[in-house]
Amino acid sequence: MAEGVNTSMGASAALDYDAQLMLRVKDGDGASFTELLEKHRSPVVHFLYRMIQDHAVSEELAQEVFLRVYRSRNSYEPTAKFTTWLFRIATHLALNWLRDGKNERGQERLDDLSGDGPVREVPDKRVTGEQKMLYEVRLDEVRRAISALPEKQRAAVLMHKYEEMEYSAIAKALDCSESAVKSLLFRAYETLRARLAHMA
Amino acid sequence: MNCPIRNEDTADLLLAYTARRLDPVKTALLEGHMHTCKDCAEFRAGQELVWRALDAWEAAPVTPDFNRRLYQRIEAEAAEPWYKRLFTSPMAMWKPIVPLAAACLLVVAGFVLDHPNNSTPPSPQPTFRVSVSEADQVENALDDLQLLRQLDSSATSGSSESM
Repeated sequence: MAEGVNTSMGASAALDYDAQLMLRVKDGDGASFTELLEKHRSPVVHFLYRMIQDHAVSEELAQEVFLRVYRSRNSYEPTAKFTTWLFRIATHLALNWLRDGKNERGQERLDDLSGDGPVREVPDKRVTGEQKMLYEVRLDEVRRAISALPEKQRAAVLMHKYEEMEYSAIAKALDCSESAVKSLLFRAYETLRARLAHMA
Repeated sequence: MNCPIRNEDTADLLLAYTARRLDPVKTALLEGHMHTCKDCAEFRAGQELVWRALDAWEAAPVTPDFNRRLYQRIEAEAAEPWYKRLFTSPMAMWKPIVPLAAACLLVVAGFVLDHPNNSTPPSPQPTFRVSVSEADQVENALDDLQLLRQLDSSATSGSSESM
């Protein structure tokens, strides 16, 4: 079985709607897979993008995540929440990618954080050029602060902040205990508070 | 209320408070505590700053052809021959066994190389025979050499006499 595609995670999760959809995929219903894809595509891509900070790679890895979900349809058992399983696969792929290419890509990525992916607009259209520049500078600082976190701390923060996942779900995705997750989050936010304190 | 920041077990209450994931009763208790506790109030201010900074980081939208590319990959995989699918299928339960099997093979090979005589049981009789025949062969060879020397010397003396 593919790593991270361990569907027997022990916890007796209630049969959520996503799990029901996945069981239909198991029975050969392609439309249910499309529904799962539509629902979870953006969160998975965004999570991977914030982990890796490379838009093209994050989409490639997200494709691999859904491909693994599809491949595992026949062996799927809804013993854990679907999103927990999904983010376990995504985290595993992201951590592997970061570890495999750390030496070659790490420095390059940090040097070129702002030049990747589609250009985002400042939310308020009435802002001046100076405000827009300030916004970009601050955004760059946030990206660098996240990128500087150790990989597991980074994954824990992103799942906690953006995916609003519970400690137990993050623990399953990272394959560690809940107390380890609390410790990871506490240390990560401590680092971020120190690095971003000047933005007050 | 005990100061949550000084207790490892309750420190996550402050994170949950900033994330607005604390129930109303605990929220009220914590807010009351933060009016008098400078450390917790500072923690909250710093954490809310981080929260706002992270809120500002919007990820780029997913490219429109994401689904199409994924379905292409799924179709391409389905069209592959069965033996190629064996390597990508999550049902390939044998994959984790490969390193174990390789390790076992190495151990067995190492044992066999380390104990080369163990594989053939010792048989004293053939060893005895071999040594006897070898001695005979050596003796015969020495006899032959002696005979050759005698022939050689007799031939030399015969030729000198004839001269």
